[in-house]
Amino acid sequence: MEKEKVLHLLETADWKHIILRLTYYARQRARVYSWKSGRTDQLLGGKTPEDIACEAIEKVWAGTRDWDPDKYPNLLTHLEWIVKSDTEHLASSMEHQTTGRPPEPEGEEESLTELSDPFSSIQGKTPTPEDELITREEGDLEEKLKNELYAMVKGDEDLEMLLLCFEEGIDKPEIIAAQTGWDIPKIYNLKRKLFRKAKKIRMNPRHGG
Amino acid sequence: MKGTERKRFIDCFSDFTSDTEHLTKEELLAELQEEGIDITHLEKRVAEIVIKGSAERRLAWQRKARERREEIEKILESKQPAKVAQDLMLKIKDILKGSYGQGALSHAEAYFRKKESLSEKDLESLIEDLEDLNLLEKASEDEE
Repeated sequence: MEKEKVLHLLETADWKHIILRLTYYARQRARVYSWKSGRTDQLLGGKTPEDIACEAIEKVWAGTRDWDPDKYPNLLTHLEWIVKSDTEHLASSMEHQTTGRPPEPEGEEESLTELSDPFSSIQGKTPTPEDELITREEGDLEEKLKNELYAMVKGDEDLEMLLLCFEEGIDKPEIIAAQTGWDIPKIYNLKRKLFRKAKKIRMNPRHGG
Repeated sequence: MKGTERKRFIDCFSDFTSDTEHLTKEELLAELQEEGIDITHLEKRVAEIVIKGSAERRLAWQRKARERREEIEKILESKQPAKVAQDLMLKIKDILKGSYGQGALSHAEAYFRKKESLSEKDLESLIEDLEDLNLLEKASEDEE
């Protein structure tokens, strides 16, 4: 698409709508990373989710994370991808500060589905004893988070079923609907319910706590 | 996630709860306000990013277009035959300075580079091409 047309799309986008959704998205990603890392002392290197959302928008305007509407017609999805990537990079850098493990390079060309997880086991390398220890710690934290979630939804069959879908690697509302026979509005209501419960989770810090 | 590897529980949970599709604007506002986010400040902040980003992009284009135009004018001057009427030369320069867009600049540049020398007829033909191109671009914009 011609640059003038992209600029026109950017100038006429509903930024008030976008910033609210993007900030919510950044907030939730940050929350999950603090659960996964066990770090509750500092959120994303001192940055707020608002900072991360605004920086993603700045990157699109500056062209450092160019938006290609032909490839990704939904601007919000493109921005969410940037937020996800930046959040993971920040999380990886924080991990580096604690463990000395080098942070993941900040990706410019990662695809929407290929983002690396800085808390997952060391990708494509022979793990050192330290890596194995970190992987075990990550596994323990994930297991703890999972247990907390199951404890919170205990007795609510629908939410338990939802968590079972996650166990199967299913998280898209359309696929959950197909698997469970629920309609989409019901899934959205369960999402609200699950989110409200999950907000109460306070994980114990892994590092120095 | 690679190949057919199953997506992890934590990633499913994270992606599922981060998505905002299910939330109405009112719910979204309530959630963010509950987190202590100043919505007015946030909207102001993004409006400033948009104004600044838009201005910077347009300035960069103008600078680029001016540089390109100057380069084309140099080629034109270097190939100018003595007998070509000055009014034709001026007309082409006016077109290049005007709002004919990047398409016209590309066309003129290619035209001048291709020609070893320029006759009056060549310039008349180029002016016709540029005017046609401009009409086509305008028609295409109107359709959109």
